[in-house]
Amino acid sequence: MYMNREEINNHIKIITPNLIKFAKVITPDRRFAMDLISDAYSAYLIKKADYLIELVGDFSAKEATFFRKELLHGVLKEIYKLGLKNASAYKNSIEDFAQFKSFYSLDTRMRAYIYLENKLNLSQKDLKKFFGVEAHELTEIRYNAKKIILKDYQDVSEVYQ
Amino acid sequence: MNVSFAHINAYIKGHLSAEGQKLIENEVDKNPDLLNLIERKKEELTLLESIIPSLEVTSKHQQLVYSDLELISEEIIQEEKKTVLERVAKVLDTTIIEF
Repeated sequence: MYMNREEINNHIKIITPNLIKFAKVITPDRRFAMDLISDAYSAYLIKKADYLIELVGDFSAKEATFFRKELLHGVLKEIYKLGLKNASAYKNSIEDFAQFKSFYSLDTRMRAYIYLENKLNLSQKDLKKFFGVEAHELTEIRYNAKKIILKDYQDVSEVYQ
Repeated sequence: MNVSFAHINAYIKGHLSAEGQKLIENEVDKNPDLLNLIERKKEELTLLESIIPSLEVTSKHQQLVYSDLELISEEIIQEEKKTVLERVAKVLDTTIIEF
């Protein structure tokens, strides 16, 4: 028995909120974010449709969770890759977004890292795979992001002192 | 037990098992420096949490995005699966060298 389109859609439905939230991490502009999700999902399916269809549909609960995680990470990665390519196009929408200024002042890679690690709780192993980097490079992304955030935070603290 | 940053992060986020938490607490009793490190990490995590936007998704927005994704699935995923015999037949049918 093969997994059919409807089954794949059922899994996609469950992960849709996480895709939307991550796309908003990349660009706070709602229209850009929606386009980003559609383009990323298309890119993912073009690469993986045959593989997905070949998978057996009768998943145990544990297998279904594993499959959904693979699907989620795969589409998130495409969102990230497209986001990196379009970073300059999103610049204005990010500058207009005064709320959460500290967060959006980070570059795309740092925002993605901070969000995936702290909100989606990706393990270091998953993060290495996601960004295609070694452990020390992950530490570097984290360190640089923290440095920028803390600098902003200290600047604000100094103003109020 | 060697306590790593990964253990400490998991402990702070409450992702460790009861057994793992107990082990960290025992280590903290033996080594007060570890407590300082945990406190510092907690502060850092609170700061990070505070700068990450709370991204709410309305059910309407979710439905809108899902409808788009459903259409994309329909366009890209072809469901007709060929049997093994059909696949073998296709390979046998393929012309490798034409004279």
